[in-house]
Amino acid sequence: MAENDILKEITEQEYKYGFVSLIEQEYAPKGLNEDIIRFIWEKKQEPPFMLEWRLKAYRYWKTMKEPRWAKVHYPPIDYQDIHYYAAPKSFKEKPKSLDEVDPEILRTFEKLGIPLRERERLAGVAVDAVLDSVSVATTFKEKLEELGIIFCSISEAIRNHPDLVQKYLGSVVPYTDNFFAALNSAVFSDGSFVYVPKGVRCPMELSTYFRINASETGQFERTLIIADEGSYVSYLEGCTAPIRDENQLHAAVVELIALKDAEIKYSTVQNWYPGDKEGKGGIYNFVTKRGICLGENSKISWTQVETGSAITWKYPSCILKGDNSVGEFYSIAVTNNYQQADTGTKMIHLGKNTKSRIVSKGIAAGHSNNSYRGLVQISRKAEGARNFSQCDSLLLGDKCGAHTFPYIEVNNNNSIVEHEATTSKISDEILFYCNQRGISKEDAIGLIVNGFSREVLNQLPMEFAVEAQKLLAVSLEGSVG
Amino acid sequence: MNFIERVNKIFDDRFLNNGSSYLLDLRKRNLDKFNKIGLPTLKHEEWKYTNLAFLNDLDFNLLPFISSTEAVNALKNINFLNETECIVIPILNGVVEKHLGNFEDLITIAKFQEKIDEDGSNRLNLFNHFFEASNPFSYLNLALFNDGVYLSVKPNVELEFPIVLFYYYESEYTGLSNTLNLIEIPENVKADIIILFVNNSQEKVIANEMTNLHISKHANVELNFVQIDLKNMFLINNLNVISESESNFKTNVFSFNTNFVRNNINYDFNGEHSTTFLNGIYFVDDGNFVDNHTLVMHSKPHCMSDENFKGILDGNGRAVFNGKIYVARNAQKTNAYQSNKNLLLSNSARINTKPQLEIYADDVKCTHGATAGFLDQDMLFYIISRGISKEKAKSLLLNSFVSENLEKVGSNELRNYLKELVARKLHLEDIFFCSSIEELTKVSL
Repeated sequence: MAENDILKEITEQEYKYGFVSLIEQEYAPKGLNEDIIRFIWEKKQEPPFMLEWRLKAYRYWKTMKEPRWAKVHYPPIDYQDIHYYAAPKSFKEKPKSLDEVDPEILRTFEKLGIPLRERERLAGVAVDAVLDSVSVATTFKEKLEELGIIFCSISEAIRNHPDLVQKYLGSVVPYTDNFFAALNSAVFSDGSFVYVPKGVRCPMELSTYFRINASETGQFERTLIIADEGSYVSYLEGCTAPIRDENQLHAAVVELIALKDAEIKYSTVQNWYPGDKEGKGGIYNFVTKRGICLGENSKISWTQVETGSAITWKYPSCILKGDNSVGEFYSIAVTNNYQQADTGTKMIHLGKNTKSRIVSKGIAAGHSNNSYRGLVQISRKAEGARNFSQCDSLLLGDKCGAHTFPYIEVNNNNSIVEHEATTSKISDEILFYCNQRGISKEDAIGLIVNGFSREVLNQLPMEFAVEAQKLLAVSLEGSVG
Repeated sequence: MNFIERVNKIFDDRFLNNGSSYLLDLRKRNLDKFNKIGLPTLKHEEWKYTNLAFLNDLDFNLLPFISSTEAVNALKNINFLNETECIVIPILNGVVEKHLGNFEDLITIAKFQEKIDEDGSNRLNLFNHFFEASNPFSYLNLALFNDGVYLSVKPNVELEFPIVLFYYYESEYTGLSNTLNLIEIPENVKADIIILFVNNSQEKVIANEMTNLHISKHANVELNFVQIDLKNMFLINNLNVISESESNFKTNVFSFNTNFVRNNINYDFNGEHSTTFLNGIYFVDDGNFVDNHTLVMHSKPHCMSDENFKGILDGNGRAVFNGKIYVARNAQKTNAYQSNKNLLLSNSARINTKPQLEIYADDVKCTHGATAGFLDQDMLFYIISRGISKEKAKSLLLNSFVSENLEKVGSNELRNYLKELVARKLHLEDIFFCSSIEELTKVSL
């Protein structure tokens, strides 16, 4: 196939999840003011401390300016032109069991490959499905409860476990943290909540599936995961949205807290609608994700596969506070057409003998721009800290860009920090080598991209690795170096 | 009065009714730009790790005129200059003196002001894209420059001796210096330039010096910056280089024990098949600060750049490295390499490094690497187990760490001078350095 044809083929790949479900929706009026926040608070039936917290965040947000330092370009967002709350009408109250869920909603998730019922039978993954502003179903709740694990939507957690929420909500990402975190704190409507008690190893993968359905809405979800001493949990997150010409805002906040000897593994396969091939439409994915290793020997591991969104702006970070704690960040970011990604991580070493590892793989095609931006900070007291960072970029086509902005700050003399980065295209030599052995150009590129991203894909839980691999193949099929 | 107000006062007092209308216009335009941006704070991305707030507390004026006798004495102390034939252009407190040495048939040396609008077009226009908001000190320099060197060489000449720009400062009050140099290297020229800074001032000196270098086709230029023991001095050293096709450029930056140095090194490929090497060594100890900011712009295809900075940090010394490689959309077949390695010897030393790639072309090979660490204990043990003291073993390792970049200096005299300096710093005076294999075999015989 001629190069042009192959390139055409990738840029014309259809977005599979772009359908809209016809569900009767209930909206909050457009715009943002204190009444809207009260409206959300009332809808959610939250305790009074939440209203206070939300209003504080909103008032702080009003004093802030939208940040412009990232290497992304987009027209100004009108924050008054968004519905901050949208929910299926049938949802006066969250259904007790799947039988009560609107069949249209079930069909929606089935179409997305998340058949809630089937999952229940297959056992293995517990799912919390979030549609627009509300959580529609959480599976396997009872089974998890037997072990003392709390897995529910954050609204339920606020109502049923206010002590835990009040203690930890905003402890890692305070509402003063940044513009989008403040906005999220004011208006967040749903998300997942996980609490794993002392010494419990969560027997199955916990998963949340986010779906934007309504138009002219923003999705502001909030996830809070607490792993108590000696516990382990693996959490997955997936997301899709319909094809629309407008840009929709998605500003989430994720907070992870790992106490002594605990381990949290957080994986994301992000596949929001990326916009069409002229760069029209798509989701603005402005997300704040941060975890704190509070106790000794704790570990937080972030894995992300970023293929969707018109703009991705996201830095899953680790604060390594406990001695001997470990932070990991594995990322594949794929951009095509006019997508822009500015993603990376922050590793803040505070405790002694803390270790971190960053593996970031960027793949840019079409007219897209793909940036890695990361910070490794070793504080004076973080004796014996160790960091290794590697960020590789692969360029497919001559109209895209790949950039790296690593910040390294070392404040003591017994830590080792290493950073390396490479940028290249798929070399003709490698392609020729494969061709020579009877592998077509198409397959060879698949092979090379797969090899390029293997290190990260290997970190994903089995259930997701398959999906991610397929996603990569779809995003990059027929790429030419 | 803060820094900006003082700068404006100096401008009103000293430059407003002075010089040609052309110059006045240039100065005014740039002063406006500088006023608009102001003194960079830690919120400016390019000055994130470099705190300039102290400049607001300094009461300063332009440096006084001084006679050359002191400078000539200072020159005698720099032994490599005595050992070799060279041409020295002293710049005393920012004022260019008549040069020492006689090679007038090959080289044109003039005052920059006389050349700037000589043929109706501003020769600086070529460099305009380097004078930008990220470095307001370039505006300050263009607004307040007092004097400067214009240097050119006859085409097709291979200079056998180095040209030395000798910056010498001496003042009894806190002073500011802005020197603006333009060096034009024509085709097929081979030239070796050394820019040397010596501060003999009791009071603080703020030096904001700028050199613009244009390298024509097939030319081969090496430029060495020697910044050694600069106490009481805040040096902002700006170098802007544009090279045409098939040229070679090499720059080495040596900053040993400097109170405050910021090197802004900008390089732009304006022709194909050119190469450039940027190397540097910095030593920082108590109260020292070095900030190396480099930008390599691959605007044209088929070029190669290789950057290598190494630093040793002791005491509460601080160093900053920010290296940016920019590859333009059409600059295919670019090879760009960058490395920054740091050894921290003390627990209060600090390093901030930011190697940065911005790449818009696909057929390129670009890598960067940065490390920060301490001396390898295994290596240390290996040497100690062979009967060498721990202190000596450390020195040997440090010496081998930096010698990679020392060896890259072209001039024998300068290289040996720097090696001696490094040896003295590391207390290795009694170890014999062999510059070649032959010498080594002679010794063992």
